[in-house]
Amino acid sequence: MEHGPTPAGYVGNVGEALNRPSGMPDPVVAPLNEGMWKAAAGDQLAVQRCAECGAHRYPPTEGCYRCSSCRWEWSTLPGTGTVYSYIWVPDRTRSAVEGREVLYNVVVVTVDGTEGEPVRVLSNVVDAWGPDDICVGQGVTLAAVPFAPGLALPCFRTLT
Amino acid sequence: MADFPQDAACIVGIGRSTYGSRGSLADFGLTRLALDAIHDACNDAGLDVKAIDGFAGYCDDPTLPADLAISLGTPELRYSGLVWGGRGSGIPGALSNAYMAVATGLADYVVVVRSIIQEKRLGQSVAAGVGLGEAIPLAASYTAPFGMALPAAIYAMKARRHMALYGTTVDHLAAVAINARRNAAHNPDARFRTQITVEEHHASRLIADPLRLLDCCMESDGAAAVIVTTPDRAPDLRQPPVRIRAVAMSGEYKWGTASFNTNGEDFVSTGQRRAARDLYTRSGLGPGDVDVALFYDAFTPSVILGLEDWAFCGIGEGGPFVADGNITSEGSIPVNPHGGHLAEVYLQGVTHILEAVRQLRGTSCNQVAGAEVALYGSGVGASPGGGVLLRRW
Repeated sequence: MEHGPTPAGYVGNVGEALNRPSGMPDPVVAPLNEGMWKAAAGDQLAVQRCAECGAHRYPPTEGCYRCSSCRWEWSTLPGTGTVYSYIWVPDRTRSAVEGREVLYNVVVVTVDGTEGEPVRVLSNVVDAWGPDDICVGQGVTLAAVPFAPGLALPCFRTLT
Repeated sequence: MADFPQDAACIVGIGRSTYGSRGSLADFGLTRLALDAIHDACNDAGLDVKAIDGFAGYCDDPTLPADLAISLGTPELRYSGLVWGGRGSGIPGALSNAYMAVATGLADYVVVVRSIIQEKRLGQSVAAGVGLGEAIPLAASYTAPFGMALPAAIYAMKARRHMALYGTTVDHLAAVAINARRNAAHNPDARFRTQITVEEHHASRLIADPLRLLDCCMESDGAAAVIVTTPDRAPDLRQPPVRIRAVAMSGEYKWGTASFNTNGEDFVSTGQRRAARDLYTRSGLGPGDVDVALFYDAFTPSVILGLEDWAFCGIGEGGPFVADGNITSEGSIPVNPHGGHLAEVYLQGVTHILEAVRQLRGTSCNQVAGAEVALYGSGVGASPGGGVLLRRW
């Protein structure tokens, strides 16, 4: 699945563009998180898994919440999940369309296939454009958005 | 936990600088505002400023005790302590430090002070303290790129799930804002004294759905201070002392600097249920003993969640509880009678402590008749948070 960069200011036909907030910074790429950006560039969702007890965790941390070990590895997940909560934020850097301001969403997704306490990833649902397009409990799947060569953000799209 | 030494410290003075809108007091500087608040608190207490021998701060406050001490002519600087992070949640930690310092004899008179000049607009940031185009810290890499930028967004995310789970509505959120303005109408110190209707709330600008402008406090400049000492010294001063019955600082499970929004079991809360457990245990008091509650209310959901976390109503019942009028000055548990951060001023918790003291002295602009016990409960924001229980002398 190939996506171009988010077209700045473009809010044209739903389905052709990605609904992403404009003007936001890229992540700081560091040893603690580089693997997830690389995995996303390959259309895979990867989170940390404790090398001692096997518990998955997110966001990236040095130690395991369950056994406190600092040994960890990247683990590839199915990439699907369920919306746990979400908000809609006016994107004031994008022009209003037909008098209505453009909204972007931020979602918290409980991702599938993890060991331990639920793993939740904060992200965007890139094919959702307004309040009717997302609800708590809705299924989503990975829809990565590149931000640098070989690196992408783990965003999501709705599952129908 | 070992038995907690209750009532080992008192608040004997409260003070403040002038309050202003964001950036309006920048020419004064943080140190001057803090000094104004400390002088005001010492005047209130009838205490020579040179008797202050300890400073307790929070929220990574850059106002250094050494700078305060040299301008106060402090002859003995015996204690200083800062609570890491904590934002507006951190004041129970600062009061805990003051409590420990005077109770153990490390210092005689500790001032808890918070001084703020909002040069950066929090509502236009991309991460905590980071403006558009500036570099983000590593910990913001999991939030800022996705547009999770505004402080309001943290509360909005919790409020949305609360609505989905329990049927909470935007009318319930509006009831919190309406109560704040209704109270502030009687507070001459408040920045926002105009009463609002539910229609005006719903018509205000969308910030982070489900939150609108009138769900949010406004960034403010100013400083406020409280003076803490021991029960044996307190009666010699000018004001009726207020006892600190117990203090608690507590971190939210799985709240980290990388989280921004916690992802643990108490996502739909202020994160203060552990603090409530500890504070009620240590104090020997419960929600039924509390006459007035001061909740950190930078955003309206904080009050609804706080009422649940501190057990004034059941989990999930906060919305209807507020809509039924329980938090008004005449209600079963008056909340923020001074108008809170939503309507008085946003100084990250310390002004709520000032109001708690006024209530227990019997001098509030919206006095709760016969108030004996006051609670402060931290909001969402960072870790550690906590709570404080105060009672009349």
